[in-house]
Amino acid sequence: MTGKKILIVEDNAIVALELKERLSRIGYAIVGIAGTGHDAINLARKTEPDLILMDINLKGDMDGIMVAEQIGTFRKVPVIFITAYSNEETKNRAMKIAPAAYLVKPFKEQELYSSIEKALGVSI
Amino acid sequence: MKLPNFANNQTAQTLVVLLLVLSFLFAEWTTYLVAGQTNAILAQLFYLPVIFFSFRYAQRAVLCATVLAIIYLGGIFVTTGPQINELAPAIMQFYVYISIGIVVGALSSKIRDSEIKYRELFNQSADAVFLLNIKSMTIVEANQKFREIFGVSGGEEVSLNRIISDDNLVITLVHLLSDGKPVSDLDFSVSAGTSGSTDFVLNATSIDAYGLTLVTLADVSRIKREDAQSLAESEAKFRSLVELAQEGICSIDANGIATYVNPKLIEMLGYSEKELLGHSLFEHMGERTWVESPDHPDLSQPKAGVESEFEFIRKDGERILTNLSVTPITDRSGMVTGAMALVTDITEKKKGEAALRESEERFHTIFESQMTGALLIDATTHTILDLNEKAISLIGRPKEEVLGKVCHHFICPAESGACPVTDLGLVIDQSERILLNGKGERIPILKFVKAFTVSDRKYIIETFTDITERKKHEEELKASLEEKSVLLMEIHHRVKNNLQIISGLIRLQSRHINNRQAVEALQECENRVITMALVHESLYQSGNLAVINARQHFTHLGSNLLVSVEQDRPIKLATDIEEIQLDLNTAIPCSLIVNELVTNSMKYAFKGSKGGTITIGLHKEPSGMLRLSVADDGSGLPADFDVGKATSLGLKLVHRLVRDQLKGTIEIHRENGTEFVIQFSPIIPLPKKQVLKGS
Repeated sequence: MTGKKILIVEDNAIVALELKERLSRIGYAIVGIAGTGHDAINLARKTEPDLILMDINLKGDMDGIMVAEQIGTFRKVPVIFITAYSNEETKNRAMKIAPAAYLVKPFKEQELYSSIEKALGVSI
Repeated sequence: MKLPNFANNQTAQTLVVLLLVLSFLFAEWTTYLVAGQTNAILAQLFYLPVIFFSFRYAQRAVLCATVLAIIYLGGIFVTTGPQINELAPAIMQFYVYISIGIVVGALSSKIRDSEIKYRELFNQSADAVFLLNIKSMTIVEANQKFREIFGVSGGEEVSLNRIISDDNLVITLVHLLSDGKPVSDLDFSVSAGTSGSTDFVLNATSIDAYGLTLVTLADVSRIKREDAQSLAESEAKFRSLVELAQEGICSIDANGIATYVNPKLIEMLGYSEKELLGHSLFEHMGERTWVESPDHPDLSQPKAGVESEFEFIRKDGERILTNLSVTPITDRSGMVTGAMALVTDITEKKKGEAALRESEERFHTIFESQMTGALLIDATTHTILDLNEKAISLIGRPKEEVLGKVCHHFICPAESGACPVTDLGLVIDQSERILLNGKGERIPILKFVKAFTVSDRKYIIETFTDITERKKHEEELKASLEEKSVLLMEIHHRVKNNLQIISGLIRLQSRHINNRQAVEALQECENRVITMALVHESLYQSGNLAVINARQHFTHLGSNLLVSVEQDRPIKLATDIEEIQLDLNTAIPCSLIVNELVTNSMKYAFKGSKGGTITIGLHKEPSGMLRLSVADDGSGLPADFDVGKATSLGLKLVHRLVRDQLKGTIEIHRENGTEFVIQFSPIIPLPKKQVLKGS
């Protein structure tokens, strides 16, 4: 897992910070935290992450699904959606772009780690 | 000496003819005598016996004529000798005599046959027939019937007065016949012979100029008796009908005075027969009240077929309404001699009509005044028989355009033969439909259809209400509810999010603390927050937003707890939860209780063991109470353990939540490990008003 770059897209600073500390502790490199869709796209171009942890509900005119679709146009990178929304409509939309995982908050820590491992093809 | 009236005297006429014939013969014979032609005189003379005997013996006329002709011829031969110039004429005369004999004989037979035939008719007639001599007033000849009736012998001469005793009648009869006028159908009665009084009808006609008259008397006694009997029977029958009739019947004379009243009329008017007879119907009743009478019938000059309604006042003062029908009675000359009045009591009928009118009026008022459209439809033809103002307004067409038309052209989409009520037998009760009105507008209506039968005729009544406003309010309400649902979902989502953030903060904090005890405390705190967050998540996911599915929630909670607490031995989670819905006020405390008890079990129940199972249970008891349980098959609590006196925050929390929030009880069972059993009544949320008051 050492060296694997993860981009966190989450508009809630506390949640983003907590995720960063959790993942850093186990050896992942957090290349950035973006709160908006546009910031996420820019950071993705710039940092070329190996994995994106994407919140669906973002500030601005784009949600996480749109951002993932945009990023997908220039870089093939696995996306794990992390969201508070568990309604079918949002899920169906998200699943159309074939994410690596779709985790509904509050998710189990082990669930997060397993999803990341699977997406990156590593074991923690 | 008075000469006979030649023109009217048959005898005189006969004498004159005979005289002429004899004069001729005498002149002829004198001529022959002078001329010395005695044979010619003889020939002439033989005509007389030939004619006489041929006429007399008509059947043997030919024989007689032949014999006489032979005698003549023999006489000539004897007288003149065999001289051809004398015998030739004699032979010619011979044949002439025979010819005359044949002719006369035939005529005589005919006359005799005719006389026999008419004599037979005369004698065998069923009527009395006689020949009357008007001048002598005597009956010169009569048939057998006459003789039987009047007891007269064959040759007896009978005077007319013996037959007709009424002198005036005789005089009239003689006078008419003397003038040559026939008499027809003259009625009279005679006492004749032993037969008693007999009724006759006389017909007479003159048959010659000398006063001879043929008279026939037809005995009509039997016919009259039969007529009288039939009349009596008919009278009895009709009297019976009149007496038993349910209508009042009164006969009135030419002055409008009652001459007969039947029992029904007596009963109807309450007067006695004596009080009614001899008075006008109206006069006796006092004040006349004409109810509806375009023609006031004058009972002395009634018109046929006139009917009027009258209010009569009975003797007891009660008023009755009647229908009076008067039929005039006229004689042969057409003069009104009286009338027959038929009186029918129509009081009850009128009352019924009034009641019916009132009922109809009432129905009509109700029909017209109700706020729903109503149609009355013939169930057989589906034509609209009536509709109220509201229906006209809703349908949006003039009444005349709708009346008589088929109903499914206006308010029902069904085609002919597919009426939901009459053809398919459906019940349409408070059904929502769309009415297309005259302007083409689609109006939502609530429709009610009822089929019923009156007097064997089937009807349908359809009522419908415009629910446009209601629909609008429903849509508004629905939109409002949807908006509130979305809002509530968002609230749960945000509460959950915020609780997640709090959980995150706690976790962050714990990473910056080195004190293990503090870290464990923060971990426990985080779990409590996550537990509450899970409740909101479950509410969000339930779709109901007010209750959670207990089985799904506690399974999720349990498995979450198992991974949240570090374990060095395998611990399984089991659930035994019924399909129970819990609202927020119950779910939060129950979840926190489960959180504490499961965490405790995980930490302490399996120390020194190879692991075990924790079971979360939730059941609804027959009493309606809920039974929540958390059990483990671990080492068990000390025997003297009292949850009420527990010192740990977790168990204190459990105790408080059970006692103060759930208002329930908690028991500890120590068989095969530890089982905490909490019993409580489901918390019923208060109405919003009271909630607002409390907070």
